[in-house]
Amino acid sequence: MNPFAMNAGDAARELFEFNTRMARGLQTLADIGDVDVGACERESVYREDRLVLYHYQPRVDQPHRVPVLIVYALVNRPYMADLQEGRSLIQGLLDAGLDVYLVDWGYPDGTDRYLELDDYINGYLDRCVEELRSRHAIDRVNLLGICQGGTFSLCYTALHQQKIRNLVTTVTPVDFHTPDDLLSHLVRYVDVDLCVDTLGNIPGDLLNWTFLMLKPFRLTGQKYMDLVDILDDPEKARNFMRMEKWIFDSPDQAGEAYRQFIKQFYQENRLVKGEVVIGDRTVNLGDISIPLLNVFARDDHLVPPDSSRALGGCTASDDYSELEFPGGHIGIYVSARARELPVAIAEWLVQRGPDLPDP
Amino acid sequence: MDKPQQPFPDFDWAEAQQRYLDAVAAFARAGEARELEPWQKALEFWWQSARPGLPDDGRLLADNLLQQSRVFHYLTGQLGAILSAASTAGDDTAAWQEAIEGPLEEMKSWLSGAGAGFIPAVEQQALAWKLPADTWQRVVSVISPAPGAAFDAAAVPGPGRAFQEQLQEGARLWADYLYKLHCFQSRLTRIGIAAVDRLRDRLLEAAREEHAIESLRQLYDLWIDCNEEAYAAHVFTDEYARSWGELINALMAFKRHSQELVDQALDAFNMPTHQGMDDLHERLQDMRRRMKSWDRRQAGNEQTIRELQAELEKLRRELAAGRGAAKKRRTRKRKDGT
Repeated sequence: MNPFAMNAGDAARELFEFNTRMARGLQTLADIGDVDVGACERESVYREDRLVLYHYQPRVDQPHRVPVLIVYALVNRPYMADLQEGRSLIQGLLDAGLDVYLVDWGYPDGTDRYLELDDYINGYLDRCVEELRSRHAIDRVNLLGICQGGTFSLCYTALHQQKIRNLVTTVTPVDFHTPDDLLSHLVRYVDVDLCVDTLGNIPGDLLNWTFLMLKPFRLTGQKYMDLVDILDDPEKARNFMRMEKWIFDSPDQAGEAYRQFIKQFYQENRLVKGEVVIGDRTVNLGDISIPLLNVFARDDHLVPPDSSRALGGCTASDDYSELEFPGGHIGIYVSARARELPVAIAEWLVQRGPDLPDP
Repeated sequence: MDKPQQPFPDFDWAEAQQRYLDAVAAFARAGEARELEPWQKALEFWWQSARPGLPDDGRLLADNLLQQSRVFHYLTGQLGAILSAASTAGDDTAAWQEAIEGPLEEMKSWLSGAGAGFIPAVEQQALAWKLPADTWQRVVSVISPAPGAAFDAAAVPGPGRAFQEQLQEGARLWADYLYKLHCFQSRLTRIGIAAVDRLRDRLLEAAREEHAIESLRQLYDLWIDCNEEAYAAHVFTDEYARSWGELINALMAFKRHSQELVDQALDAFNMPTHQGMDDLHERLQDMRRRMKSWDRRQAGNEQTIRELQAELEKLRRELAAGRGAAKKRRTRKRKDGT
């Protein structure tokens, strides 16, 4: 049987309709103008070099006493966590009664070339935690890490557990050598020392290209064909453009921190072996004994679920939980089902609240 | 903001498109395929005039959108050839399989850029690869500006033989990069060809299982699936990882060498060099760390001083209270004469 249930005339008509929708869509893009991001009110409460610590305006009268500090990755920008009304992890956490802070690492430039992981984790992050402890007059805060921010949060907690009450990791890589980890596979033969010695800071464009090459046809092609179908709706077009803005808004990576992260984590997989060195201290996940919630995305092609699940066998926590969410690495935050995530996280944190004895 | 001026304001664009495509359909019904490339070219000509009117966010997005529309046009052209070949075979499976082999083989040879040389082959590869190739070119331009400038011996001062050797080394490194790029692009070509084979297999499967392909969009999605599957099958191999690593390492090696040449020239003009700036940044970071460490110690010292002051104040009060009590006792003693 001939599988084609159409003829050339049908194809030509379909192409005509496509071109017409596309031409109308280009007009929609022209009319939309620039798009804005962010749904929640916030203020900056602490600044240091490029870093800004934001406090989000609570949306309940009596927010939970223990604040939660969100630690985002160095790669991409943290406004993904608060993209727009109805697609915002932060909004969900605020609506659930939490008091939310976020670390914005900023855009490194040449003067940040020699920032190391020690500066980020034992420096900037520790001072943000101290700021929260001081503002709220408490000994311990809650930490929520996203992707590489989750890896940083794990390292921080292993080194400074006395300051953390509960830890939540989301789409966080722990074992970087699982068989389906394409990123790890791609950097295996890259001479990272040569890259950093040559480029200094690693351009955001290079990282973008690497991520796009994980699924090049869908991410650089099919996605735009899907766009044509929604360009009649300015609101949907705006949503798409917000995602595009975020995807291509990649800061450069501070050279030394990039060198250390790629070599120790991606190439040598030291985290699960307890051999990561930050500053002059070795990170041992086995030192983590506080409650830990590990959230991962079932269809994550950037951080495969097995990479996150490996955390289960690494810590000494007797209150370790896993939560698998449908969706991909980003969809877990911005898809239709994403509204369930902040509710689940908030419930878990509140159950381990300040009225209970310190862990 | 005013809407961009159209180059042909009284021209009914939609009607012209309709008439053109009706003509194409008529040719196709007559069993002849026609290229739609002229239409795509016309669309892109129009876009060049409309493009400046868009804001930055929309412009990049629209560029990507138009890029993908080329894929659609290309597939339509190929489909026209396939349908035209298949129409002579009727429903006989073997006959139409044989009929479509020609167009599929043509896709493969187009993908491999046969006879065009390895650099133009990048441009000729499957349009589905155009955006990743474009993105790589942007990456290269961001991190390797004017790579050819390193070879301009007339512009760069330096001692004779040693400098010539450096230039030769630069030429060797550039040739190595081009070779590694060619090897990598060859891999992508092989993946593209494997994707065409997968497309053939899926069409056969669709015929066997009587799953009709009812639209161009369905064919496009199938084409994307075939490319992603072929890519995924290859990208996890050690060979691919090596090729990728070698490509990046070769580019970095050339860039490093170019930097050293440029630094020599800047040094000759007594101007800041890349290495000099790098050293400066390293010292700057070291100073920042020291200052932050001093700030923390300072804050700790201030806290200690405040605590000591509070304790001192408390002791003073206690001392004053003690003296006051002793004075009262002495006063009482003198009054009663004891």
